[in-house]
Amino acid sequence: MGFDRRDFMRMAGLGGVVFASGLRQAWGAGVAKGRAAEEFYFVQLSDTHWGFTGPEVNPDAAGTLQKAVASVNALAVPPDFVVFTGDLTHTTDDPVERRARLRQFKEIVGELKVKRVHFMPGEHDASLDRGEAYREFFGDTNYTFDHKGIHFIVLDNVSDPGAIVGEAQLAWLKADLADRPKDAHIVVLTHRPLFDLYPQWDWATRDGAQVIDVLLPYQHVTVFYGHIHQEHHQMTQHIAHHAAKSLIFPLPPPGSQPKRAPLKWDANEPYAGLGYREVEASGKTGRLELKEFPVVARS
Amino acid sequence: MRRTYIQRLAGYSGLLLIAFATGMLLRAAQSRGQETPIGVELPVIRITAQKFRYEPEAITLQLGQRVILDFFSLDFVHGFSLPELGVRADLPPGQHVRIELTPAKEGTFGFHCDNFCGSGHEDMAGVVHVVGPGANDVAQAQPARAERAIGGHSHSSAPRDGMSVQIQTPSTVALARLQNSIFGPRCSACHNGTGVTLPTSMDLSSATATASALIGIASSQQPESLRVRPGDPDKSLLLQKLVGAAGIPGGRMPLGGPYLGAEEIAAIRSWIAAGPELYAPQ
Repeated sequence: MGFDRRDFMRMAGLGGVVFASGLRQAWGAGVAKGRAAEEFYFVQLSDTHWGFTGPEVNPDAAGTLQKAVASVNALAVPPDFVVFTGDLTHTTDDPVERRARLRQFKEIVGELKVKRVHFMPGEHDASLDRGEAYREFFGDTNYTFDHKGIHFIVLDNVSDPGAIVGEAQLAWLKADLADRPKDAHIVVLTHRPLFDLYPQWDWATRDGAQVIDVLLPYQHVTVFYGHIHQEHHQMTQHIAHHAAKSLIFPLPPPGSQPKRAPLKWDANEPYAGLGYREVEASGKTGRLELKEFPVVARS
Repeated sequence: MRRTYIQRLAGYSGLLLIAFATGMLLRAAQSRGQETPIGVELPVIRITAQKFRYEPEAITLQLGQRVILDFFSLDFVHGFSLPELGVRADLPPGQHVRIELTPAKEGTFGFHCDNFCGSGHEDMAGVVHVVGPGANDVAQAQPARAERAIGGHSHSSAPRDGMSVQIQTPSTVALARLQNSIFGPRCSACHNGTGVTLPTSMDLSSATATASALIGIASSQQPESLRVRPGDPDKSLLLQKLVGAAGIPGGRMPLGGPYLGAEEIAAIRSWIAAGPELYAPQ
């Protein structure tokens, strides 16, 4: 059976998006039955920061990513694809070490039992060398793909260290959208928030408003991103933006403390605040349903 | 025809001023749209940026008092973003970036680096306190004559809403001249970078090496002091060692003499005080 729809929290005005937290059972556990051809689900993983060390915030920094991979592999029905929304690795000034971390990350996530994995960089992966090392391992930092009636757009707002999408990419985005009908089902995947979530902590994209302006004429646009290491949902007019949890350490809610220091590890509740997201999608109706899961299943 | 170092340095201060105005929230009605008249003294607050901190990290401004924030980055194109006051700028290394502003609201406002600069980037932040009339704890600001463009190509547009950002492209000759006349012939015989302990561990054999060895670098003999603290010659250990100040670690430099002449020491003092020439090694 699928999840209990009474558990859903419906957000008014979300344009067909539904999301829910704290459900006991993943879609992977059994929603495949009776699914229409355009219906599928994907998994969003984010901010794994491979190479990070900091026992006070995550004493299992070298093991959390593998646990996330194991959790996804344990889903009864594998997702159609997995997407990592940036900060695959933790930054380093050393180009050799950066490549070592990217290589190790790629090896670990190579264990995912899914047909397809999509990647994009975060500022930790790409800002110090404008994406050079990242591209050696994962290819382009912005691209599109289509899946069962939904057009996915991966936007790079990190290769420029100033968090700028840039004129060239904006032109590319406009060209990609130009011939699409205004009611096309569009999902944008990126690392940083495209809106000014909390600029005091650099939770923004400097020219994000221009991206949103390009997207606004389209009626069904949803953005999934990372960067802020916590779940967050916000609308900019009819466009919904959903931030994902991290897989290394949680950050405090915006403005809740003077500095954006990571939240401390709680030995009584290990891995608290870390997790991944499943998104059930219908290319026919454009409906998206979100579910949040802890990185390790709690008994 | 030999010019003194001071004369040379004066010649080098023909900095390019690239001024541009940014629309912003900050404004003061009395100064809106006005250029600061030549000769009017504004408080200047010098702020050094380097991985991964600003110095100072806390700045106190007086409500309605027009000031110049004078940034100098040592090592990266850091950013300065003060979103609640609508201020941001890139801080290219080796250049003075001056932000002229008039705080128009009281409060404590966070600023941070918004150009990703490495593993401590998220910690590179500070606060601006804007205090109302009557508060007397305005710190860090010393009156200084507002610098104007002197020769060279300059481009500016009138500030809007009370803030302008000026980037001064540095003269690129001062350190090279000092290298050729002082650091090279007088210092690099011992400070040649070939060893692991002083004096040979310090490399003053080229302008690039000298910049790397001195500017913003903590002394190994006295780690709480910087060898060269940009904009502050009196707190720069280099100068203290050259004049033989009381309490310096080790001996007066050059060790055993002959020591530098007053004119040479004045040139180094001016170089440290001026700041913008510090970084550029050519």
